[in-house]
Parts: sequence; C-alpha cells; structure tokens
Amino acid sequence: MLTNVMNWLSANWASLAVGLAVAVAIAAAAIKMIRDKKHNRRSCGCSCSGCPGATYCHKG
Amino acid sequence: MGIKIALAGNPNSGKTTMFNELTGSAQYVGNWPGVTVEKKEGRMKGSGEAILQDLPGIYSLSPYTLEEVVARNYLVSEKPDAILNIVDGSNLERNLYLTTQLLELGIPTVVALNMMDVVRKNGDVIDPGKLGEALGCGVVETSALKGLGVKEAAQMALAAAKERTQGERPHVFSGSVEHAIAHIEESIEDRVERPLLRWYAVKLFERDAKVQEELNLDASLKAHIETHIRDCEKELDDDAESIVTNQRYAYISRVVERSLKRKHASVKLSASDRIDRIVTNRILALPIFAIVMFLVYYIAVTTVGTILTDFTNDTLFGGWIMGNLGAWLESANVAPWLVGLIVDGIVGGVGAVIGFVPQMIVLFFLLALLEDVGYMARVAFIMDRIFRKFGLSGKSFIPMLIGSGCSIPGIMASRTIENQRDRRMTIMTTAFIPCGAKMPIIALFAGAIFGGAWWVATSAYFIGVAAVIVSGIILKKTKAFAGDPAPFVMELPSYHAPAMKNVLRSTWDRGWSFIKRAGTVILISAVALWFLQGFGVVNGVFGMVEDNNTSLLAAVGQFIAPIFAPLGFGGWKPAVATFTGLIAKENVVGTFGVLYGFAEVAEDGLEIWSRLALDFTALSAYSFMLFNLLCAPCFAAMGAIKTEMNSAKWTWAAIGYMTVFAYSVSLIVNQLGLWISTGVFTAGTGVAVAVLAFLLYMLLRKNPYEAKSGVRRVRTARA
Repeated sequence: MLTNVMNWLSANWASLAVGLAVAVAIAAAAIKMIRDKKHNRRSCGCSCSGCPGATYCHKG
Repeated sequence: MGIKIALAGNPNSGKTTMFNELTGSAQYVGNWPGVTVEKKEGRMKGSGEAILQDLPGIYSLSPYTLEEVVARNYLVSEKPDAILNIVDGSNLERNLYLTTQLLELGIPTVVALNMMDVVRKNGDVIDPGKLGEALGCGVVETSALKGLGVKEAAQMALAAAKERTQGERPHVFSGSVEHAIAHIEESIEDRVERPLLRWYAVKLFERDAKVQEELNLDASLKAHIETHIRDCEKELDDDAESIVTNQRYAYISRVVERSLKRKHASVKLSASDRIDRIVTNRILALPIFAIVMFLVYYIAVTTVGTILTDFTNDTLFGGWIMGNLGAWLESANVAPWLVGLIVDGIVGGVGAVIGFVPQMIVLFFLLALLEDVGYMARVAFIMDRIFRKFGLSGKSFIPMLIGSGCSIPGIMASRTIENQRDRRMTIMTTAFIPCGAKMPIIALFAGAIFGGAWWVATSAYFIGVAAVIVSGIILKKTKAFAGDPAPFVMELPSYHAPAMKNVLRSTWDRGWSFIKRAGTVILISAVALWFLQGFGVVNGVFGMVEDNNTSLLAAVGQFIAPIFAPLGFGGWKPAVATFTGLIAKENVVGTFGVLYGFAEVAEDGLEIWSRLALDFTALSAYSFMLFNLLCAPCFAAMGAIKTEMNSAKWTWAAIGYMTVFAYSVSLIVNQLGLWISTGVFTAGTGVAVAVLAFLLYMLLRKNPYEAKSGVRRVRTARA
C-alpha cells in the first residue's frame, strides 16, 4: 500500500508541486480580493493615492 | 494627542505638493478643482507629534461649495492647533481673501508664500516682513514644487501651535462694519467659543444661513442682529455680504501695495497668457485639443507603445515564456491538463492583458505630462465653451478628465458638482471616456484587425467625448435633467515645466494598479474561463473537450450571442468577452487570450492575435470595440455609481442608459456600414435607420424645458 503511494508520488511529484504552486497563487489572489472587499477598497484602475475620493473608500 | 496643523489655501496653490513634501505621502497632485474632495491626513516627517491635514482647495470660507463646507467644518469644529495657509505668491490679491477669513478664526496661522520661484521669475518682489506685519502672522517664502522653504514654514506653524501665538488681527473693515460686528459679538458671546467669536459675528453679519442654523438664535436676538446689519447696509448703501467682500478686497489692495513691487507696473501678458491666447483661442482651441489627443494616442498605441507591446507580446510572452514554459512543464512530467491550465489559462489570459502594459504606461505618462504642465486644466475650460452651448457645465468635464485613468475616481469627483441634475448626468456619462482598462481593447483591435491604423485609438477617445456631448444634449432636453448649467469658475494655472516626480508617480500609480489587477481579478477570471472552456458534455459524458466550441462556456455563450448578432459580433466568444468585461474591462482581452489560444498561436510562430482576426471583419471589430467602450462599466465602477447616485433607481437608470446608448451606436455603425458596403437593405438596416432618426430627433428637437434666464460665465483672472 505504502509502496503504491510512494510510487504514485514519485511519478506525480512534479504535478503535485506545480499544482500546489498554482493553488497557492489562486488562493492568494482570492484572499487579496476578499480582503479588499472587506476593507471597502474598490478594484479600480488607479491606486488610492491617485483618487480624489480615497477616504470615502475606506469608511467603515 | 499630536499637534494638528491644517494646510489651507486656494485651489492650485500647491497644498498637496507641500503635504507630500512634508509627510512623504504620494497623494494625487492635480491642477484642477476637486482633486482633494475630502481632507487627507499625514504625519509630518521628523516632527514625530505633528499631524498635517490637507484640506480641499477653497477660495473662501463661504458655504457655497462642497469643498468650502468640508474645509470650514473642519476648521471650526475640529479646531486644529495651527493653520499653514498656502498662498500663491504669483496671485497674491486673490489668495489673501481666504487669508483674511482664516485669521478671523482665532487659530495661530502661518502664511507659506508659495510659488516664489514663479514670482522671482516674473521679476516681482514680495517683502514677507511687511506682509507678515500687515496680516499679523508669520510669513515664510516657499516653493513646494522645488522643496524650498517648506520645512521652515512647517516648523514655524509647529512653533505657533505649541506657543498658541497669534498676532494682532488685521483691521479689515471700516468703522461702521466694525460697529455692527461688535454688537453681534456682544449678542452671541455666550453661545460660541471665545476664539471663534469674531468669525461667527462676521458670518452672521453676512447672513450666512448655515451659521444662523447652527447657532439656532431665537427670534428676538435675530431681530436685534438684523437691526444692526440693516443700519450698516443703509449707511453704506449696499448689502452686507457685498460690503464685507468689497472691504476685504480694499484691505488686501492696501496690503499688496505695501508688500509687493511688480517688475511691470502695467499689465503685461505673462508667458502663460501668451500661450493661452493660442491654446484657448475660440477658433484654434478645439483643433489644438484634437491634435494633442491624436498625438497622445498615436504615440501610446501606434508608435512607441506598439514597439514595446510587440516586444512584450511576441518576444517576452510569445517567445521566452510560452516557448519555454510549456516545454519545461512537459519535460518535468506535469499532467497535461495542468500544463494547459498554466499555459493556456493563466499565461494566456493574464499574459494577454500584461502584454498591453507598455502601451498603457506610455499613455498614462503622456496624460500625466499634459496634466502637470497645465494643459488638461485648459481642456476643461475649452470644453466648458462647448458644453455650455448645450446646457452643460465645463465642471462636468473635470470628472471625465480624471476618468481617463479610471472611471471610479472620475465618478467620485462628480460630487463637487453642486447641481444634483448636472451631477447625475455627469455620473451617467463619465464612463464614456475610455479609461485605462479599456486601452488594451482599443490596442488589441487597432493592432490585430486594423494593422495598427493611426485613427483607431484616437477615434475611440473622440467617440467617448462625442458620446458625452450627445448624451448631454439629449438628457438636458428631458424633464429629469433640464435646467440652466451651473456657473463654472476655474482657475487656469500657469504653465510650467513638468515636475517629473509627479508625472512618474502618477504613471507608476496607475500602471502598478493595473498590474496588480492582472494578478488578482484577471488571474481568477482566466482560471475560471479556462475550466469553463475546457470542459463540457460530449456524447452524454462530462469531461475535458478537445474543441472549446463544445464546452460549457460555448453553450452559455451561444445562448446570449444572438443579442449581439445585429451588432456584428454574434459569435459566442465575443459575447462571453463582453460579459466578462463587466468584471474588469481588461478582462475582454484576457478572455480572448484564453479562448483564442494566445499560447498556441505563439507556438505556431504566427502573429499572436491573428486567430482573433479570423472571427471579425473590420466593421464588426469596430462595432465590438464601440460597444465595449460605451456600455455599462465594470462592477467596481457600477459600485461607485451606486454610491454617488445614492439611489437604486438612478443607478439602474445610469447603467441602463449607457448600455442602450452603446447598443444603439454599435447597431447604427454595423448595420449602416453593412448597407453601404454591400448595398443590401435588410430589416436590421431599417431598425438602425429608425434608431438613428430617433437619436437625431432627440438631439435636434427644441428643448421644451429651456430656461428663460441666461447664465453668466465667470473666468478668474490671473494676476
């Protein structure tokens, strides 16, 4: 059983490592978006310092 | 509790530049009104305890504009420990009007005599000692742009705050006014704090409605105060507000006469005035504006930008990343579906968007350059002349100028428009101006379909401007938006060499935010799209599909595609791209990157976007571009519309109007284009002709709500 698992892992380690990296990247992007949403930061095309109404985005 | 110092001054006096210099912040510096709508706070570098408040630019402490209300509420209610009053030394008379009001607040005040580099360049000499003596406060010469004297001014304000020092108040008013003010002071001295007594008394003398309301005076006290005001008005044969204004200016004239020596006693045109005689000339202004914007888009999209984007797309993504990444993953025995997800999904989608970053950076740089030298402020002035003819105010164009970077701050800047009808209309039309996120769509079609034709990008911008004007005319003739345009007072800043720090910071801010979005919302969209276009049901079995035309996404896309068929892009891929564009406009390009196999095309050695060209004719491509430029903006911008409209009904009205307008324009372009090119008149042509006729009727009909009163435009004069 253990041998089978080890064999499978050795055959698929690259897929697992790359898949994990992709999953982390996607999760990080999702977390960033959720955090921004929670902080009422809109995903606009310029930074807050570039916005005349920046303070309104961060109320509450 | 730290010491609070407020930066107050006229618009364009250099407050935000000074704020950035003193706090190390990177707040947006612009040279049109409304850049600072709310106050901004920052800790003063090197002082540890001092907090600086950057207030919106104001001309007075009257309650006529949102900026004035925000600034005066802060000064009166939150009582900063000191005021650092930024005065534009090259416009001394006008700037000192606010100073005389600030000095009435009883808050230690220091005047930063800014733009001294310009004053010296003009050959004028200001004696800060004499000025300070006359005003009864400290005066420091500064040049915020060059960082000269800024720290000294801040240190003097800090010292004044600590010592609570305040000089003798200037003697602004004549005896009869002072007499009336003294009586008012007596009447309200138990109702307001001692330091603010004079300010409240002057405001009551002016019959300031907000102050009257705030103090909630009883009828007998009101009548008593009114008696004193009327006596003074009778004696001076003018209304109280005008008396105060005139006497302030008379006082300022005396102060300026003592402290300023002009090189040219007679009024001589400055270099800016001479440039403006051409740039804002009644006949030449518009052609010059057209040429300038043509050059901006030509350089950004067609020449310099294209060279950089071609390198990013063809060499960086097409060659290095695509070529090597796929091969490397396969050689490492990574599962084929995972290779597909990374290469076709993530790199294909995100890479397609990132590929256009160089063009965006060039565009943002050029727009920031025009902003910084002072040209874009002139554009609002030029547009005011056109807008006013159709019942609109040039003030509506300022949000549109800001919106050329991103529609959201543009929509938010509309709150500086006091007239609710004009504000609503501005919110509804601001997103017509192509924002940065629409730039990749324009650049993609200009390159892939039109072979980099010079006119495509420029036409996109001017169609946006035309859409604003046409919508303005149509909407102003409806009951909901009818009315006189609001007066538009705007200061035209002097032209100056661009401060590269500001230009590069503005470019970086906008460019970096775009890249960050590519790494978040575009990345997740690309992954979701890859799954949806890679899986489907074939022969009753759910699984990966070879051909994305049989995918889940294709099934959904084919369901909605007929809506766009009359516009010329009835395929499922453009339909899906249009809808994903609602998440973020650059997602249109990201979606094409995933659906048209950005990666596969590159591996074939063909030009990156040649597969896209097979699905579009020049006409349908232009129609697609128009629809995506003019239709409902991204969800984030819709959120901004909802916030600013503060009404679900008006939010949906705005989104609905934009979408219907975009559909109508695309329909007309596609159907009439087909008719002209093929000579075949179809039912679609008939509908397009009917829509065009309706639009023309709405444009040209007499305004049933035309106001009888005229509106006077005021342009502030430069000293």
